Amino acid sequence: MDRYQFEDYLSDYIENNLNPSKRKEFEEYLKANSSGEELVESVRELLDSMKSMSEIKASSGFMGKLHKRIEAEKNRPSIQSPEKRTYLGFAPFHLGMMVVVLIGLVFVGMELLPTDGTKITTVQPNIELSFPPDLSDPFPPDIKKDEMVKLDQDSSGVKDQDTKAPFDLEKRGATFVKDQN
Amino acid sequence: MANQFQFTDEELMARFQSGDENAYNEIVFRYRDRLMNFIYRFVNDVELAEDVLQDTLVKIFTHRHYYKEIAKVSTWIYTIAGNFSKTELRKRKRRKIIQLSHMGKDDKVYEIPDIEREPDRGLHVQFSEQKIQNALQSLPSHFRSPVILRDIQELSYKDISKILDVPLGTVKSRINRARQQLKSTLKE
Repeated sequence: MDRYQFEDYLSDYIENNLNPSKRKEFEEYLKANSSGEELVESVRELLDSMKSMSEIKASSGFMGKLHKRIEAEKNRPSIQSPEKRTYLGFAPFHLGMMVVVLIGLVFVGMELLPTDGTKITTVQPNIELSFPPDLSDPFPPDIKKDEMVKLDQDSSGVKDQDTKAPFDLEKRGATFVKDQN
Repeated sequence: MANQFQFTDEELMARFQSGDENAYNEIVFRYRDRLMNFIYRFVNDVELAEDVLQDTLVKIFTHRHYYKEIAKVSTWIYTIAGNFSKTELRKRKRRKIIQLSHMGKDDKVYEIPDIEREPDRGLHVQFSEQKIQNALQSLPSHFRSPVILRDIQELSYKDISKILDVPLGTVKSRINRARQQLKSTLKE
């Protein structure tokens, strides 16, 4: 046993917690090292002194002060137990959120329900598509394809300028006088 | 006197949790002096120790529903007292630093010991008690609390491990080292 091991086992030795083989080893070290024996004795003395230290007591007015404070605490909003802070196993905040979501879902569901009493069915109805006779031809008979293209071009405004007749002043009654100077 | 131990601490706590305030008074009666001693040895100031003791007992009252029977009542109570003591020491340390920074060079801080002494004790014992108390203050708090709980309060290693929430082996080695450190401080 070296010095480090000896110091590690010191408390166990004093408190009689060493197994027989370790105890024997420890005592052999003590026999060989007088400083070890000295250390054991001084720690034993220290422990005895600590055990016999006087008891410090609270002052005589302590209980009165304590009861006053307890009374004040009783008037405060009480601290509830962790169990009481849950409702149906949920924290108040989470339960509140769940209730709001549930109310929302019920409200949306009510809005989706038909109000005239007809039944909602998941079976797909047999729907036959039919068009009025005038929609069967996408191009009405009185409008030809070329005309439509021309109309598109006209809408740009470029063609308009080319097709318009030039502005004729004479036709509008204007007279030209020659400059005498 | 037989009535004093009619109920275990755990039974008293259960009664208190179901609304019996007499059970609380009994718990206070059982733990008041033990706690006062533990807190005083830790904080080294009687007035502060009394304040911490009051905070501890009030917390037991207000937070009674937080106690679960999986642990011993004593370990729960000592844990509360230990935590309050550490917090108060930290606060006092901060205050001291602020005070020192505002102090002039001629100002001094005097700490007058105010210990209830037993009249029949000799001068020599009183002196060594004060020396031990001072030596305890020189220990870091993670050494101080286990050694007080073990050597003054005489709690088991297992209970100390639960109170401090550290492994049993760590508690043992801290106590062992604390004792040797105390011994060498007292030798100086």
